[in-house]
Amino acid sequence: MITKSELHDAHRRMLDEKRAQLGDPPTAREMLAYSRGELSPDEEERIRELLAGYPELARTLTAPFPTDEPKPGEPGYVSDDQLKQRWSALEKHLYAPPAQPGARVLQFWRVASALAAAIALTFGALLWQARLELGRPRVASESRYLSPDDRYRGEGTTATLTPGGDAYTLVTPLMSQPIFAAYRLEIVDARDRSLWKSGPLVERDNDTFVILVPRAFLAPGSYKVVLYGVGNSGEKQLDKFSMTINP
Amino acid sequence: MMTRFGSRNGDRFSELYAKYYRRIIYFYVRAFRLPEEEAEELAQDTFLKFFEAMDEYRGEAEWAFLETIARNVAFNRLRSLHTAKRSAKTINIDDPDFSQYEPAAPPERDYADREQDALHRKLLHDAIAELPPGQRQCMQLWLEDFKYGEIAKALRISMDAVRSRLRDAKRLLRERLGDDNELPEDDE
Repeated sequence: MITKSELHDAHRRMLDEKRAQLGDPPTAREMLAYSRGELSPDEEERIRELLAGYPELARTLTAPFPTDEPKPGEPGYVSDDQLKQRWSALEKHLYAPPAQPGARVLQFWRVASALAAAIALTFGALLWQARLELGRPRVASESRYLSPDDRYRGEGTTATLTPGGDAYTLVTPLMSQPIFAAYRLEIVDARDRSLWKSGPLVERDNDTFVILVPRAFLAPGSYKVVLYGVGNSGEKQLDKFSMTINP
Repeated sequence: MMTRFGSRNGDRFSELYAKYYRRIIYFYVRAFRLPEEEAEELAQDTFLKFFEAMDEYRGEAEWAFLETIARNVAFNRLRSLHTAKRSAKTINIDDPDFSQYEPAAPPERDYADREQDALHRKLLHDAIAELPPGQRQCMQLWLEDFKYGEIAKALRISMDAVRSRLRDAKRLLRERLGDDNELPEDDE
């Protein structure tokens, strides 16, 4: 007589061979659709075949749920103490902040981003304020017509400016200067160190350039405004205008 | 996280945990013959998933909801075991190191007996494999100790269909294996 055990063994051998051809077991999504009857007849048949080939998975659909708990000594028995411990472990897990890989790195970047944003905001505000200031009327303490150093009055004749308002207005003449496509102005200190340079300037009708210099820009001392002619072959120094800022 | 769901849900959750944790463990150990450690891990996973979905769930029967999650957790675990097995490393039998993987040979039996057994197994194997698909599927689950009701549920067919397919399958097996071969009685 053939026993069920013999048939079972034969079946197990058949499964070992057949699973290679069957393919992967159904997914949880497919199982859900299958158990709800949402699959086409062909798909449903495919799942049946897979469930017959993977009886352990079929059992997840059919295994009866226990209505009682295991008694002490039975497999799966959980004592009150064990239950408390496991609840604490789960509770800890639930309360713990989400532990994501690279959380520290993320935190660093968050702080760095916040700092960068704060700095950008501060500088933005300062820039905005500066632009506001520039847009407002300013009082120039005096407007000085500068004379070239060595052509009319000779070196040593300097314009003297006394601080009074917010800025100085320096007027540099172009009269009798050779004609250049553009000109450039530069302010240098007593040691000929450059303090400021203009961009290329086009000659105006009144043959002058006017520089508005904030008072704070020039401390008391001696300075020169240097005029350059800018042509295709380069720059050429044309004149120097000396000036002294009084304390 | 608990506060995200409010203390009412948190209290309800701890009540459900205390009430059903043991049954979930029992389910995994008894239905799937899982080791207790693994059952414990799956049970915690089940409650975690339940907790995460608790806020969205508006139904009355929390237990039924928990049961569905427990089944899904088991399904995913068993499925992952099968897919891992399928992608397991294969060894070339020509590999000179193959011998180290070879299991120890069982005690030698008489050659004629072994041949007889192999033939018998092949006969049974082929007899099952050649059954019509519907009958074979029922037979396969029946051989894995599924009850008729469980087969009906797994294959989404009626109990009557299970009965008739199993009866036909056994008749076919009897024919193939010879008249003198009896098959085990039905146990519904």
